[in-house]
Amino acid sequence: MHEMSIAMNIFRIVREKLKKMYGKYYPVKKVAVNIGKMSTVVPAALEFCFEMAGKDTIFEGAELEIVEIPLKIHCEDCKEDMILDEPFFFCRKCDSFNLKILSGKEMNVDTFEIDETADPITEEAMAWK
Amino acid sequence: MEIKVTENILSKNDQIALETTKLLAEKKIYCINMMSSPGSGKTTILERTIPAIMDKIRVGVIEGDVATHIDAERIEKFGIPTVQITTDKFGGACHLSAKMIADVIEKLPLDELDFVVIENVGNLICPAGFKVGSNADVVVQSLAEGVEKPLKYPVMFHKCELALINKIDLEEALEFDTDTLEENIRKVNPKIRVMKLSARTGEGFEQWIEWIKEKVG
Repeated sequence: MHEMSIAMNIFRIVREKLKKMYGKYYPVKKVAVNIGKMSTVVPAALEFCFEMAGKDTIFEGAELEIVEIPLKIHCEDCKEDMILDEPFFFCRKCDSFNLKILSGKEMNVDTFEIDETADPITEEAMAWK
Repeated sequence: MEIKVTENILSKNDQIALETTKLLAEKKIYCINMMSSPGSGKTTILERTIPAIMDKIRVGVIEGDVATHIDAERIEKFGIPTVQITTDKFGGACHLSAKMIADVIEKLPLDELDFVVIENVGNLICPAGFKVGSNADVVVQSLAEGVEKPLKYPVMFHKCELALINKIDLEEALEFDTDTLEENIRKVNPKIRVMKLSARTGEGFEQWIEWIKEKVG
């Protein structure tokens, strides 16, 4: 159940970005994250933690868009790229173990949306949140 | 308004882990992160490993047993530096984060050590996601857990460079198919090194001790 710390880190990244851009915090409407198949994050658990931990903060009611990134590999022997539906690391074409992972380990905050028409919260007020 | 970020969610954890790695490199210390499910025998392995290496290698241990001091006491009896990461009596933590390690690492006498073992929380999922700053990740699995564990927890087995199959003294009693277990480990990680041993009898320990000596240098 480490999704709670993932959710807290998502909040931290968005807050830091808002602080840098505006010096104050607007309500967040949506956060889009990329989650790779090999990242050990359970989307449903992350959604739950995001919603719960976001209560009474600028994230209250925000939508969490989770884009799942497939496990994609490149075979260094037959040069084929392929998506693996199971985490078994061999080339489905030539059986080689000589693979490079192209995607599937991602865990990124990609974009977020704010409501800049709403009243922003200042740094001081944020400290109480 | 949409704002572009593209930042790794665990970037802060990774950054702290990197600082720990740098600190350990400065002190010429080799560090392993031992992970497994509860009861696989991490502490028992250490109890047999420490006396076998401590005349040549100065070893310290960070114990991630989150609810009690039982494991730390088992290690402290060898008179080696041991740090316990304590959270609370209800054992709430599911993994050690880079910050938890960074907060305690300097409690070890780093100038007097060659080798640091981090014994992570017994869990095959969460610790796989969090770097702690170690040089190598080692997974322990015991026969009693069954052959299918690597397939159920592929990320953990994929991340590690060494798998220790423990409790091989139970092979006969359990009618255990160790070859299938090894095959399953290699399915999720073809490059992993696999060693079979028994912390109870000491069988198979030579190669593990050799591995440590080679790595610590």
